Amino acid sequence: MYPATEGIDIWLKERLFDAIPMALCVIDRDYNLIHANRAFEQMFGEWRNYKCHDVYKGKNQVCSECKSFQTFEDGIPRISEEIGYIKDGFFCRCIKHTVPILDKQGRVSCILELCADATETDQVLREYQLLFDQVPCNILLIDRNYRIVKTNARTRQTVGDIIGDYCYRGLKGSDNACSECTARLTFEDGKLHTGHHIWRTVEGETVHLHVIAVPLLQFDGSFNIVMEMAVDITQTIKLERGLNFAQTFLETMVGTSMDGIFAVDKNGNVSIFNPAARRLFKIRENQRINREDLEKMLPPGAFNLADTSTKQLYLPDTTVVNMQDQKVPVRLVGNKLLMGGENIGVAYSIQDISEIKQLQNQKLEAERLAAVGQTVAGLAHGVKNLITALDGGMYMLKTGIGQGNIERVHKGMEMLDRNIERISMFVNTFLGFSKGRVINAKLSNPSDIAREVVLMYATKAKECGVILRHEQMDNIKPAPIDYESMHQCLTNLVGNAIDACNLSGQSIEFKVIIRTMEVNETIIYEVIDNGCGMDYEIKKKIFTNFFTTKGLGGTGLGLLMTKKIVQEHGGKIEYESDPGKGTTFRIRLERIRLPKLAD
Amino acid sequence: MSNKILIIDDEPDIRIYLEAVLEDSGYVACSTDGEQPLTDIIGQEKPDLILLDIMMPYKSGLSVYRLLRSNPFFCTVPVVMISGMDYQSDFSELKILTRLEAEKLPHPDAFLEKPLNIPALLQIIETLFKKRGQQDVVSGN
Repeated sequence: MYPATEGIDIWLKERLFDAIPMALCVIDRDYNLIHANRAFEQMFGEWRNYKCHDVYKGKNQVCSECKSFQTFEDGIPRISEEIGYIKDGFFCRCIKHTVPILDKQGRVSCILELCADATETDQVLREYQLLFDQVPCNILLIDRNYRIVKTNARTRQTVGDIIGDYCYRGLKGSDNACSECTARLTFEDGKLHTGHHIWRTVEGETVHLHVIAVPLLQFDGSFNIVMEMAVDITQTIKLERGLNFAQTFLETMVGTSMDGIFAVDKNGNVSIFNPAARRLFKIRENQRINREDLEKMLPPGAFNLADTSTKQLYLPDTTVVNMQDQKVPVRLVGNKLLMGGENIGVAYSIQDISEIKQLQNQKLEAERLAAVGQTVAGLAHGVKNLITALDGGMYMLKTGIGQGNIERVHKGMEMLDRNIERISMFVNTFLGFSKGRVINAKLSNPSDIAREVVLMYATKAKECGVILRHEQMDNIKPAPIDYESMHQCLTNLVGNAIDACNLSGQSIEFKVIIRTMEVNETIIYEVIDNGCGMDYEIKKKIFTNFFTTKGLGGTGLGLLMTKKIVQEHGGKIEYESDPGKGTTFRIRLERIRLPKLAD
Repeated sequence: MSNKILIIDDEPDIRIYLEAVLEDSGYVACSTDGEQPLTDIIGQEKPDLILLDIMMPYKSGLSVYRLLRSNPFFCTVPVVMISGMDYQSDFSELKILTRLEAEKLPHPDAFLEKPLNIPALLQIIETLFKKRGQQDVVSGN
């Protein structure tokens, strides 16, 4: 209610002071509070009989930089920002007007102080500034001339201080406005616009930004400033490009791979099936493959890899059944797909090895034929020795008869008998070799073969004064080996080793040790002797056809046969030998290269 | 005094044969299978000529030849090498001679292939002894 006109002077004098919604107080030259209005009391509490510094700051002495002191001195009114005043027990921020009250002589007798609480406004301003500077994007204000009015701290870090510069120059180093300027579009229609901009940083690098331009509207809806908010998407773009590359690479690889590639998800549903896999399984281009089809086509256990604890499946020589119910020899590899330990499916790679198998068979056959060819060529050597020995027999016989030397006649007869028998053995062995033998792999215990050979030679070794022993590693699992052929190999090697001991001129305890072991999925047989050893020329020739050092006792085919059998098992044979010290032969049979089990 | 010939061959029948042939031709023959220490045998028998087989158990005739030629006591004893290997073999005459040249060793005094042509062998032996006799006359031995 407005006071009556006639009473206005009274109201101004008596009530105005309390009615003003700002804290007002009057202090004398001793800083005593002599008047204060209601708002002051509400803001600072009890004031009567206190000095201003008591009430404002809880201090018992005049503040340094006291504005009232200055106004008492110079009579000039002041506006100041006061920090540290106590309001309701908390610090606050005030805007204080210090106004001198003059007496009749014009001297400053008292001071009127007006305090407006600016704590909240200040807080809001601080929050805004913090947000403006620390928000994880670049913010800039642009005027209608495309000049930058304000930037936040992040923008300054990115492009430096560009306030006052044209946005296209400050941000992009260009002398012309951009063709796709989001700020221009917003100035034109007052709406939000977005775009992809590329800025140049203070370090001269290029950064990609997703920019949102919005009008900074005034109360009346007009605007002269556009705010642009720009989020750095350089890393995102890099990742996106990397991802696109990886995806394109993967799609191309899978699509054009000569190997079949297919995958199933954790439920067994087919998610990838590349053209090579379709060709292998004879599946039409548009024909869908379901889990039942796949389960039928794959060898047992291969489809259910996801349900097992095994991470990888490797079947170097297995068979799948195509859609036309034909068996196809393949090499199949399955890998569990794990994401953060969680099984998300299985990826398979498959190779048709029909051609490889055919080539392998052809190669084996070619090797066999080549060996036979070489053997025939080398036969001359054996025959020459036999002829010489037969000549010898005939010579002894003829001259014995001519001289009437019955002993020489007998010797001649014996020589003829021996060499005729030798011809027979020679021919039989040669025929056996030239015919070859199909490997018949059965699940055999590798140690059993060696043990049997040692038993077989026990008597002969004892007669020759040779210690023959079998040493075996525990737990060698059975493997697909042609028992008889491998037996023949070890028989040859152990027989040679005993002979090597017999041939040695040394007076030592002769030993032949046969070891069976398995290292890294490779079965190893070692035949070790401390016999006469071999010199360089002999070592060079031991695996060649018809090489024999055993005179009448050997056919020259033993080691050749051994090598052939080992090779047919996908294995290798090697040896070390020192003349006078002994020889070690070593057969290595990698499990993954062993032949398939015979049906 | 008859010349002595040492036969080094692992095949017993061939040793018997050659010993008989050489003795029938008036030479003194002795033999070894090549496994005993050769220096002992040669030192003991003191042969005037050696017939050396190439293919022997665990030690080749080539190794024996190297040993003979590197020993100052035996390096002048004539050696006739005997091989049953064909021309493709590493132990053919050509390949052996090539290797000896590479090792800077002299060629053997003669090289014969099996089956042995006995008249040719005897002819070679006779020629070698004649040659040696002439050398002895020249050197005054």
